[in-house]
Amino acid sequence: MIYLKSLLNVIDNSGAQVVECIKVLRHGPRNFAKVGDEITVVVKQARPLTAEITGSSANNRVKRRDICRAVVVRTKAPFRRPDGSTIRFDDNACVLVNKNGDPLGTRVSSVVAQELRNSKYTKIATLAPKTF
Amino acid sequence: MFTRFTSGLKPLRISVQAIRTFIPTVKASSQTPTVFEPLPSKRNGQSVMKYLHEKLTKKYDPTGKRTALVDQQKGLRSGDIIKVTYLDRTSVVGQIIAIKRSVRNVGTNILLRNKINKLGVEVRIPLYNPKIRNIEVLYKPKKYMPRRKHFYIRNTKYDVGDVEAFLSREKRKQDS
Repeated sequence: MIYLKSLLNVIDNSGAQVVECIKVLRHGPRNFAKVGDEITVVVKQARPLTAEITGSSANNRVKRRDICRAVVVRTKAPFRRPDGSTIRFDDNACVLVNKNGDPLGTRVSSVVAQELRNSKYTKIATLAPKTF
Repeated sequence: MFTRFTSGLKPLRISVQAIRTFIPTVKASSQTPTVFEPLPSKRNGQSVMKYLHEKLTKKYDPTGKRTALVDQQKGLRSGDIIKVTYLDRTSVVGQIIAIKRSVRNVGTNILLRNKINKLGVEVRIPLYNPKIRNIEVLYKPKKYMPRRKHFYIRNTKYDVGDVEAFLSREKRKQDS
């Protein structure tokens, strides 16, 4: 259940660490974002940019106060699978994406929900070390 | 109007007489109501919910194996580590932190907790899900934590670790 002002961990190597949701996209005014939903975020905390980082990841680095789009990959609120089981993670997390839905970073560091496999963000699920 | 208010008893007597005239004077014998035979009780008098739950458990658990798993005395308990295998060969491993059961209820489910990459994940699995192939007990601790529901262990020092790593460590300990 990601609303306006929800804080999320970022689990890719785009440089952001903590972001804040400022808009849930393509939903009703009183609705919330679930796993697989796109949101607009502000970067609240970012890893410092060092000279060592080069190549394609350097161009996609985000800084503090940047506004970007993100896909929710884990939620603390339990959500349902079609077989009746319910899944819950210990934190809210997202992966930053561009407007076409491609991830900004090149890696995803921890587990993501299996729902992303069948969504249009299949790439995030394949990048992740594990899906649950 | 004015006279009524001044003379106290007069209007009262009139009203009592008016009520009396309306009392029906009917003989009881001519008005006997028709009484029908009672309908035969459904399901031999068993309650609907009991009947329904028994029917459903018979449907989803014909062998009684799953019901035996969550038996209060001999079945699973919070703290055990189990592996749930589905028909499509995928499986979930985790430590039980709660079993939601009611009497003869197909809504019974098991809450499993595990840690993947140091991140806690929980899954609530319906026990009578027909897509489950097998539920296997991997580990039973010698000493259990108090309470039947272990919600309080989340994010404390009693929290579950990486269950797979824990099991391999236990196995190595047994072998040596």
